[in-house]
Amino acid sequence: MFKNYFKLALRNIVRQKGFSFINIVGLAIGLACCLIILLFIQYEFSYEEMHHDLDNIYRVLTIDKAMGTNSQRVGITIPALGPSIPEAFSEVEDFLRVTNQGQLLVSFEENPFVYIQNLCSADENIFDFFGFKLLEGDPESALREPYTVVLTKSEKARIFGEENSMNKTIRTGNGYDLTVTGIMEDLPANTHLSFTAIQSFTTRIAQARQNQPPDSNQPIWIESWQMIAMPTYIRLKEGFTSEGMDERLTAFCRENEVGENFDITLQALDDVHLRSTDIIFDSGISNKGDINYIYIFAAIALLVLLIASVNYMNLSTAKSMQRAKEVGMRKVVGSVRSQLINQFLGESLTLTLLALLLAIPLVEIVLPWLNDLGGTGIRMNFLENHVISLFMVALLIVVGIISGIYPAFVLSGFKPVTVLKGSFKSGKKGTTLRTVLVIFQFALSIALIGSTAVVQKQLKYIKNKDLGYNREQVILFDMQDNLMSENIELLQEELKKHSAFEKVAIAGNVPGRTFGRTGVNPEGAVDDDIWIMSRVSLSADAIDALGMEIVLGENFLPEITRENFDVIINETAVRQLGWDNPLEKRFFFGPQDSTGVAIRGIIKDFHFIEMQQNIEPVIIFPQTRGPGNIVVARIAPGQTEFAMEHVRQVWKDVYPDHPLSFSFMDDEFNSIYHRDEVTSKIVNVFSGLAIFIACLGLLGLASFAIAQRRKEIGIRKTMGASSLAIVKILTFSFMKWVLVANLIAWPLIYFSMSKWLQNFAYRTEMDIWVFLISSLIGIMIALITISLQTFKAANANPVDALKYE
Amino acid sequence: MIKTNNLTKIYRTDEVETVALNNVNVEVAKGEFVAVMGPSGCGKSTLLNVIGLLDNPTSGEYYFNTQEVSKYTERMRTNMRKSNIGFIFQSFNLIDELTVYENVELPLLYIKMSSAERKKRVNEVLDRMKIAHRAKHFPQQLSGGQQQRVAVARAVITKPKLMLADEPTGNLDSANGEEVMDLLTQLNEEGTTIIMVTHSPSHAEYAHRTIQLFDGHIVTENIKKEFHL
Repeated sequence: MFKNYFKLALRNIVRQKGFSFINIVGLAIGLACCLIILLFIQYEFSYEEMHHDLDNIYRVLTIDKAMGTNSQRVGITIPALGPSIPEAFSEVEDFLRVTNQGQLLVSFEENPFVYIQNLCSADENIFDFFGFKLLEGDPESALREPYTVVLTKSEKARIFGEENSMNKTIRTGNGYDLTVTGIMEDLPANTHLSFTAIQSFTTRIAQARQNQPPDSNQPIWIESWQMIAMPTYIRLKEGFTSEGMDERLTAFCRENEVGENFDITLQALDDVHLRSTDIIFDSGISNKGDINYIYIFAAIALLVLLIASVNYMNLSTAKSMQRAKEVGMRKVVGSVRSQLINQFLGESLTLTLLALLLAIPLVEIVLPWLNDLGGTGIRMNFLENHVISLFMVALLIVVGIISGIYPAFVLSGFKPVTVLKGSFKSGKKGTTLRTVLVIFQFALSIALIGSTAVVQKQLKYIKNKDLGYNREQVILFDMQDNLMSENIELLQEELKKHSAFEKVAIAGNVPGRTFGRTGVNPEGAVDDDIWIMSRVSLSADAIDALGMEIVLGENFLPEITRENFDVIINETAVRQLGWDNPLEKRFFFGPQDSTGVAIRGIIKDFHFIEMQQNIEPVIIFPQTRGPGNIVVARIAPGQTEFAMEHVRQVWKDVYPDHPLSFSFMDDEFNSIYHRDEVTSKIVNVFSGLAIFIACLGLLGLASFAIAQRRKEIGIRKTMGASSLAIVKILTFSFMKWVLVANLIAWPLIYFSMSKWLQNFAYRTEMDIWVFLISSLIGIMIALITISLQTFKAANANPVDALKYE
Repeated sequence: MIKTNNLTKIYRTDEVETVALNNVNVEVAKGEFVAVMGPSGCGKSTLLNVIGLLDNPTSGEYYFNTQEVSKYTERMRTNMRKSNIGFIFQSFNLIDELTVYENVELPLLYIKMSSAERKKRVNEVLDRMKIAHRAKHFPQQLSGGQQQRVAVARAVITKPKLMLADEPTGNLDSANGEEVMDLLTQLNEEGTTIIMVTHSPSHAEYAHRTIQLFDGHIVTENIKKEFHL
């Protein structure tokens, strides 16, 4: 019996090529979307899975509640906290500190200098803590001594090539040497950690002691309770949970005289990747994910699949007349309804299976593109990945049944008495349902188009918004180490010599990168009203070079002395402090500070953090002479080529040992919104697919409906209707439903996109054009889809239709 | 074999009520060949559907092999039908997606039978209907006469006791029509009871007697041939 069903299903698929094509291609695309999204979700949730003690590891975060902040979670905490925890909390087994230091210039013997891509400093227990294995070296002791380093395999190959590197010494651009004490595997892509080399934490402690003034009676910063600076993790003993620990850790900090402005909170390690978008001072974490995007993608994939399933329902019930005779005959010779339901479900399952077989290569084709776009390492491997295999079986059954259940009930319900006489016409009920389903499909498709339009509009808004500084045509040269810093002014002077550069200045930091924070006592504030403000050091030239605008008072003087060491603050700071005459006010730094600093100028607000967040109060210190951090160079319009030529020349002279290294400010800006760009591209693709599948459905339904109206068209033409009149009638009969779909789509767009836009502190307006344009696109696509069918029908010879009847 | 008492069938739509059968009393003996005639819309096909257990009457009694079946549920009717009644239609009603062989085999799939037995039975019937050489063809590849022979083969495959034919020659030319009538006569001679709806007086001649229907009533019954049990 099943053989008979299967055979019949295949024959029907082959015979009804058009319908089968629409169904299989539509379902294949829908299934491929679902598979891709599942792979993506699986990948996103696979973060940190490699750590053997995942469930017991937590990140120690700080909540910054000080005035002037938005009460945010901060990715770093009090440096002295970590080492004190295991002693004070019996359920804590261990702690770990990992600080990211970025690039480091190194060289082995006489080889040219190369950069270690991503250096971090970590406590010696990092290997045990995260369960990393060493390929060479002893994990217990590799990072015990100061000035030791463990390299990843590929970093070792870059520095040493094939040579043995164990116990060899490398010189660094900061003037100290490091001994290689271990080699480890490269980190997998699915972890929030992103180092290529680990320097022993004792190195940092030694350096901090070295930098401490000899007469200081303060602890070194690494042991301080009075700042927020250290990325810290703790590991709980087996069987303990983090419940209540936030409060106890906060209380513990109070005992150690940490101010009321800072609370402590723990974050489970497996939440780090997907639930950290709100956390600031988290620059060590690359490729943060976002749980909300997972929800969005999953919802869209399901919608696409649903639209494809609706096609199946619609087309199967539409062509039910063609199966009526079979149903009648089967019933006559002894089939009961349940057998027929099984048969039709079997057919939809067969069709879904074919679609699934087509979806798999589709996924394989799309994955490399997606990996490239999102910087992910997603692979589809059925043998290893049992979840995806099970998911495919589940998908097959669920989609097969959802698509097939309604047609199965409709078809199996035919009465042989009616259908075998040939007087059977498909009922009005079926038509109403098909209409509702088409409206539903188009409403979803138009809603997706509208959403895409809003996402695009917002991204365009961000790109074009006045940032309060000018990021175009600006090159940044980062001083990676002491050797570079020594020659910063030489670099500045040499660059200035070419007319291609309008301005070359030195800055401590630039907008778009993470600013430090500092506690201040604004004049007139109550004693314990410490304000936490973002801080940056800029020279007067840098303020000009970055195109920032002083709206009140004046810029710094070129020469900074003790007498004119004033600060500049932004408009938000003035507003939040409620000062009427800010230029007459002063800032004090701590209770011992009796003189404070004057406010020299007010700078127009500029977006130094991403647009998801509001501009915060910022305090700008003058960049004094001496080693700075960044050379900011503005290129004159149209001079980029000459400027770059000059840079290459100058670099060779100033830094003969250093590989050329610079970045464009607008590239950095774009990378901040990379995730949104990627989302927008993916939503674009999904919307395209959804509307494509919906159009396939409309095409099938239009051809069916027109075939049904052949006689009517024939009669109308015989009575004198022109082809154009017929086209009008047919077009309107379809388009009115597309118009209704628009009415449903509009509120969908409005509510979903209002919610999305709320993620941005600075956002575009959702004006009427968004709705009109998405509707227009939807209508145009639907018109094009049905036009061929309607024109063909309208121009057919009426005699054929009438003879046929 | 068949006995009806005041069989009535009324079709109702929202606005119209049509009486298709009005107090019809019919008796058909085992082994009999009965023709049903009458103008279009007189209730011939309705009568056949009720007798064939495809439809329930609105009122009245219907005895099939002494069993009262007029109140049977669909499932009960299906069970009764599949081993006892064969159908032949004017428009053949072959399933286009199935081959000749598979069309003929279809009724056997709904009764429990081994595949070897099925194969044997289908081949026998195809041979008998002289269409074995067309077994792998699809219905559209056959002439009308051949298609109706396949339909007859399908109807007899379960060896039914009763054969219902609704204008079996209506779509055929005279030569093919005669051929089908010969087949039916042959089946009847082998013991199958046959009730046939027809418009053709000459084909009605093949039957033992003819029932004339008009507006849902039986108007006359003509006995053409002697029939003995």
